[in-house]
Amino acid sequence: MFLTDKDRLRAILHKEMTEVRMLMMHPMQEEQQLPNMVIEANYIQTIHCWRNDEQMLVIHCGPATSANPFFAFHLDGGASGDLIKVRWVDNQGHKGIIETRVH
Amino acid sequence: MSKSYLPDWQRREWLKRGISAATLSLLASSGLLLPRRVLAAYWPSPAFNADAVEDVLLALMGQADVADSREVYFEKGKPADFVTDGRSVSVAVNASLSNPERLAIVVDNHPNPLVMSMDLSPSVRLPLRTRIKVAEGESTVRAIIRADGQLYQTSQTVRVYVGGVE
Repeated sequence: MFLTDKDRLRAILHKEMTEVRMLMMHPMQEEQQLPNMVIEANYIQTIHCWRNDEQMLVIHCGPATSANPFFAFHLDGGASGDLIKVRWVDNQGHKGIIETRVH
Repeated sequence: MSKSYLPDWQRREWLKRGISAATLSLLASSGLLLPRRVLAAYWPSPAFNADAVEDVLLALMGQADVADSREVYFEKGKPADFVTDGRSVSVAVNASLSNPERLAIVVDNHPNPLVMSMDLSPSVRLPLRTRIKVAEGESTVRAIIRADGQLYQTSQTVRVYVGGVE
Protein backbone atom coordinates (compact mmCIF):
# COMPACT_ATOMS: atom_id res chain seq x y z
CA MET A 1 0.00 0.00 0.00
CA PHE A 2 1.01 3.61 -0.21
CA LEU A 3 2.73 5.46 2.57
CA THR A 4 1.69 9.10 2.49
CA ASP A 5 4.47 9.93 4.97
CA LYS A 6 7.03 8.96 2.39
CA ASP A 7 5.79 11.34 -0.32
CA ARG A 8 8.59 13.71 -1.24
CA LEU A 9 8.45 17.34 -2.28
CA ARG A 10 11.45 19.57 -2.96
CA ALA A 11 11.39 23.26 -3.90
CA ILE A 12 14.72 24.86 -4.68
CA LEU A 13 15.28 28.53 -5.50
CA HIS A 14 17.43 29.21 -8.57
CA LYS A 15 18.09 32.51 -10.31
CA GLU A 16 14.61 33.91 -11.18
CA MET A 17 13.09 30.42 -10.98
CA THR A 18 11.88 27.90 -8.47
CA GLU A 19 12.41 24.25 -9.23
CA VAL A 20 9.74 21.88 -7.89
CA ARG A 21 10.16 18.13 -7.77
CA MET A 22 7.62 15.71 -6.34
CA LEU A 23 7.54 11.98 -5.82
CA MET A 24 4.44 10.20 -4.56
CA MET A 25 4.57 6.71 -3.06
CA HIS A 26 1.67 5.07 -4.85
CA PRO A 27 1.33 1.69 -6.64
CA MET A 28 -0.56 3.14 -9.67
CA GLN A 29 -2.25 -0.22 -10.22
CA GLU A 30 -4.16 -1.00 -13.41
CA GLU A 31 -7.17 -3.32 -13.27
CA GLN A 32 -5.98 -6.91 -13.84
CA GLN A 33 -8.05 -10.00 -14.66
CA LEU A 34 -6.23 -12.97 -13.12
CA PRO A 35 -7.53 -16.59 -13.45
CA ASN A 36 -9.32 -16.63 -10.09
CA MET A 37 -9.32 -13.02 -8.93
CA VAL A 38 -9.55 -9.43 -10.12
CA ILE A 39 -7.09 -6.81 -8.92
CA GLU A 40 -8.89 -3.50 -8.62
CA ALA A 41 -7.54 -0.43 -10.34
CA ASN A 42 -5.89 2.01 -7.94
CA TYR A 43 -4.16 5.05 -9.38
CA ILE A 44 -3.76 8.75 -8.66
CA GLN A 45 -6.22 10.74 -10.75
CA THR A 46 -5.65 14.38 -9.92
CA ILE A 47 -2.74 16.34 -8.47
CA HIS A 48 -3.11 20.03 -7.59
CA CYS A 49 -0.14 22.25 -6.89
CA TRP A 50 -0.27 25.64 -5.17
CA ARG A 51 2.26 28.33 -4.36
CA ASN A 52 1.09 30.66 -1.57
CA ASP A 53 -2.64 29.91 -2.21
CA GLU A 54 -2.23 30.55 -5.94
CA GLN A 55 -2.91 27.51 -8.08
CA MET A 56 0.01 26.69 -10.34
CA LEU A 57 -0.58 23.31 -11.94
CA VAL A 58 -3.20 20.58 -12.24
CA ILE A 59 -2.11 17.13 -13.39
CA HIS A 60 -4.61 14.43 -14.39
CA CYS A 61 -3.13 10.92 -14.48
CA GLY A 62 -4.34 7.65 -15.94
CA PRO A 63 -3.19 4.16 -14.91
CA ALA A 64 -0.32 4.34 -17.44
CA THR A 65 1.62 6.77 -15.27
CA SER A 66 4.51 4.88 -13.67
CA ALA A 67 4.33 3.53 -10.14
CA ASN A 68 5.56 6.07 -7.58
CA PRO A 69 4.86 8.94 -9.99
CA PHE A 70 7.48 11.65 -10.31
CA PHE A 71 7.07 15.19 -11.66
CA ALA A 72 9.52 18.04 -12.02
CA PHE A 73 8.96 21.54 -13.39
CA HIS A 74 9.94 25.16 -12.83
CA LEU A 75 7.96 28.17 -11.62
CA ASP A 76 8.63 31.77 -12.53
CA GLY A 77 10.13 33.91 -9.80
CA GLY A 78 9.59 32.95 -6.20
CA ALA A 79 11.27 33.84 -2.93
CA SER A 80 12.83 31.99 -0.08
CA GLY A 81 10.08 30.93 2.31
CA ASP A 82 7.27 30.50 -0.24
CA LEU A 83 4.88 27.71 0.68
CA ILE A 84 4.51 25.00 -1.97
CA LYS A 85 1.54 22.69 -1.40
CA VAL A 86 0.61 19.55 -3.35
CA ARG A 87 -2.59 17.56 -2.91
CA TRP A 88 -3.42 14.30 -4.69
CA VAL A 89 -6.57 12.18 -4.90
CA ASP A 90 -6.75 8.64 -6.29
CA ASN A 91 -9.68 6.80 -7.86
CA GLN A 92 -10.57 5.06 -4.58
CA GLY A 93 -10.78 8.35 -2.72
CA HIS A 94 -7.47 8.22 -0.84
CA LYS A 95 -5.84 11.61 -0.43
CA GLY A 96 -2.47 13.02 0.42
CA ILE A 97 -1.19 16.50 1.16
CA ILE A 98 2.47 17.48 0.99
CA GLU A 99 3.85 20.90 1.91
CA THR A 100 7.26 22.42 1.84
CA ARG A 101 8.98 25.80 1.98
CA VAL A 102 11.23 27.10 -0.78
CA HIS A 103 14.83 27.37 0.38
CA MET B 1 -43.93 63.52 4.49
CA SER B 2 -41.33 64.51 1.95
CA LYS B 3 -42.39 65.48 -1.51
CA SER B 4 -40.92 63.43 -4.34
CA TYR B 5 -40.39 64.80 -7.83
CA LEU B 6 -40.81 61.46 -9.57
CA PRO B 7 -43.75 59.05 -9.57
CA ASP B 8 -43.27 56.03 -7.34
CA TRP B 9 -42.54 53.39 -10.01
CA GLN B 10 -39.96 55.60 -11.72
CA ARG B 11 -38.15 56.30 -8.46
CA ARG B 12 -37.92 52.54 -7.79
CA GLU B 13 -36.48 52.00 -11.25
CA TRP B 14 -33.79 54.62 -10.66
CA LEU B 15 -32.99 53.15 -7.23
CA LYS B 16 -32.54 49.69 -8.76
CA ARG B 17 -30.26 51.02 -11.48
CA GLY B 18 -28.17 52.89 -8.96
CA ILE B 19 -27.73 49.83 -6.77
CA SER B 20 -26.73 47.55 -9.67
CA ALA B 21 -24.28 50.17 -10.99
CA ALA B 22 -22.73 50.42 -7.55
CA THR B 23 -22.31 46.63 -7.25
CA LEU B 24 -20.88 46.39 -10.75
CA SER B 25 -18.30 49.06 -10.12
CA LEU B 26 -17.37 47.32 -6.83
CA LEU B 27 -16.95 44.01 -8.69
CA ALA B 28 -14.84 45.63 -11.40
CA SER B 29 -12.58 47.35 -8.91
CA SER B 30 -12.11 44.16 -6.87
CA GLY B 31 -10.72 42.32 -9.92
CA LEU B 32 -13.31 39.54 -9.92
CA LEU B 33 -14.28 40.22 -13.54
CA LEU B 34 -10.71 40.05 -14.89
CA PRO B 35 -10.13 37.12 -17.22
CA ARG B 36 -8.21 34.41 -15.37
CA ARG B 37 -7.09 31.08 -16.71
CA VAL B 38 -9.18 28.34 -15.15
CA LEU B 39 -7.41 25.05 -14.49
CA ALA B 40 -9.66 22.02 -14.95
CA ALA B 41 -10.50 20.61 -11.54
CA TYR B 42 -12.14 17.32 -12.49
CA TRP B 43 -10.69 14.17 -13.99
CA PRO B 44 -11.66 14.13 -17.70
CA SER B 45 -12.98 10.56 -17.95
CA PRO B 46 -14.06 10.69 -21.66
CA ALA B 47 -10.48 11.53 -22.63
CA PHE B 48 -8.96 8.81 -20.44
CA ASN B 49 -11.47 6.16 -21.60
CA ALA B 50 -11.10 6.94 -25.31
CA ASP B 51 -9.33 4.25 -27.35
CA ALA B 52 -7.97 6.29 -30.28
CA VAL B 53 -5.64 9.27 -30.32
CA GLU B 54 -8.13 11.39 -32.29
CA ASP B 55 -10.87 10.74 -29.73
CA VAL B 56 -8.49 11.67 -26.92
CA LEU B 57 -7.66 14.97 -28.58
CA LEU B 58 -11.30 15.75 -29.35
CA ALA B 59 -12.32 15.06 -25.77
CA LEU B 60 -9.40 16.84 -24.15
CA MET B 61 -8.47 19.71 -26.46
CA GLY B 62 -11.72 20.19 -28.40
CA GLN B 63 -10.03 19.60 -31.77
CA ALA B 64 -8.05 16.85 -33.47
CA ASP B 65 -6.11 18.54 -36.28
CA VAL B 66 -2.51 18.47 -35.13
CA ALA B 67 0.76 18.66 -37.00
CA ASP B 68 4.36 17.99 -36.01
CA SER B 69 6.07 21.14 -34.86
CA ARG B 70 9.63 22.10 -34.03
CA GLU B 71 8.42 24.24 -31.18
CA VAL B 72 7.61 21.22 -29.01
CA TYR B 73 10.40 18.74 -28.40
CA PHE B 74 11.56 15.98 -26.08
CA GLU B 75 14.78 16.51 -24.18
CA LYS B 76 17.52 14.34 -25.62
CA GLY B 77 17.26 10.72 -24.48
CA LYS B 78 13.91 11.26 -22.74
CA PRO B 79 12.30 9.02 -23.85
CA ALA B 80 15.16 6.86 -25.11
CA ASP B 81 14.94 4.90 -28.38
CA PHE B 82 15.33 1.55 -26.67
CA VAL B 83 14.14 0.78 -23.15
CA THR B 84 14.52 -2.47 -21.22
CA ASP B 85 11.88 -1.77 -18.58
CA GLY B 86 8.62 -0.31 -19.89
CA ARG B 87 7.24 0.18 -16.39
CA SER B 88 9.21 3.37 -15.86
CA VAL B 89 10.27 5.42 -18.88
CA SER B 90 11.61 8.94 -18.30
CA VAL B 91 10.00 11.63 -20.41
CA ALA B 92 10.94 15.32 -20.53
CA VAL B 93 8.78 17.67 -22.59
CA ASN B 94 10.03 21.10 -23.52
CA ALA B 95 8.61 23.83 -25.76
CA SER B 96 9.61 27.20 -27.11
CA LEU B 97 5.96 28.32 -27.20
CA SER B 98 5.17 31.52 -25.37
CA ASN B 99 1.90 30.55 -23.76
CA PRO B 100 1.30 26.79 -23.32
CA GLU B 101 -2.04 26.07 -21.66
CA ARG B 102 -2.44 22.31 -21.67
CA LEU B 103 -0.05 19.44 -22.20
CA ALA B 104 -0.93 15.82 -22.92
CA ILE B 105 1.30 12.74 -23.14
CA VAL B 106 -0.14 10.02 -25.36
CA VAL B 107 1.18 6.54 -26.26
CA ASP B 108 -0.38 5.27 -29.50
CA ASN B 109 -0.72 1.53 -28.98
CA HIS B 110 -2.05 1.50 -25.42
CA PRO B 111 -5.66 0.35 -25.00
CA ASN B 112 -6.35 3.85 -23.59
CA PRO B 113 -3.75 6.11 -25.23
CA LEU B 114 -3.90 9.09 -22.86
CA VAL B 115 -1.27 8.78 -20.13
CA MET B 116 -1.55 12.17 -18.45
CA SER B 117 -2.77 15.68 -19.09
CA MET B 118 -1.63 18.86 -17.39
CA ASP B 119 -3.12 22.31 -17.07
CA LEU B 120 -0.41 24.93 -16.78
CA SER B 121 -0.83 28.35 -15.21
CA PRO B 122 1.14 31.22 -16.83
CA SER B 123 3.94 30.98 -14.26
CA VAL B 124 4.85 27.35 -14.97
CA ARG B 125 8.01 26.92 -17.05
CA LEU B 126 8.85 23.83 -19.05
CA PRO B 127 10.60 21.36 -19.29
CA LEU B 128 8.28 19.03 -17.48
CA ARG B 129 9.93 15.79 -16.45
CA THR B 130 8.00 12.67 -15.48
CA ARG B 131 7.93 8.87 -15.82
CA ILE B 132 5.37 6.80 -17.70
CA LYS B 133 4.60 3.16 -18.53
CA VAL B 134 4.99 1.99 -22.14
CA ALA B 135 3.67 -1.26 -23.61
CA GLU B 136 5.96 -3.99 -24.95
CA GLY B 137 7.14 -3.72 -28.56
CA GLU B 138 7.38 -0.59 -30.64
CA SER B 139 5.24 2.38 -29.61
CA THR B 140 5.03 6.04 -30.51
CA VAL B 141 5.16 8.43 -27.57
CA ARG B 142 3.61 11.81 -28.35
CA ALA B 143 3.57 15.08 -26.47
CA ILE B 144 0.83 17.47 -27.53
CA ILE B 145 0.58 21.06 -26.33
CA ARG B 146 -2.27 23.49 -26.81
CA ALA B 147 -1.21 27.13 -27.00
CA ASP B 148 -3.42 30.03 -28.14
CA GLY B 149 -6.07 27.63 -29.48
CA GLN B 150 -3.65 25.61 -31.64
CA LEU B 151 -2.18 22.15 -31.15
CA TYR B 152 1.53 21.39 -31.49
CA GLN B 153 2.99 17.92 -31.21
CA THR B 154 6.21 15.98 -31.18
CA SER B 155 6.59 12.22 -31.31
CA GLN B 156 9.24 9.60 -30.84
CA THR B 157 9.34 5.85 -31.44
CA VAL B 158 10.34 3.79 -28.41
CA ARG B 159 11.16 0.08 -28.45
CA VAL B 160 10.44 -1.67 -25.17
CA TYR B 161 11.79 -5.06 -24.12
CA VAL B 162 9.62 -5.74 -21.04
CA GLY B 163 6.26 -3.99 -21.24
CA GLY B 164 4.65 -1.94 -18.53
CA VAL B 165 1.04 -1.99 -19.75
CA GLU B 166 -1.18 -5.01 -20.46
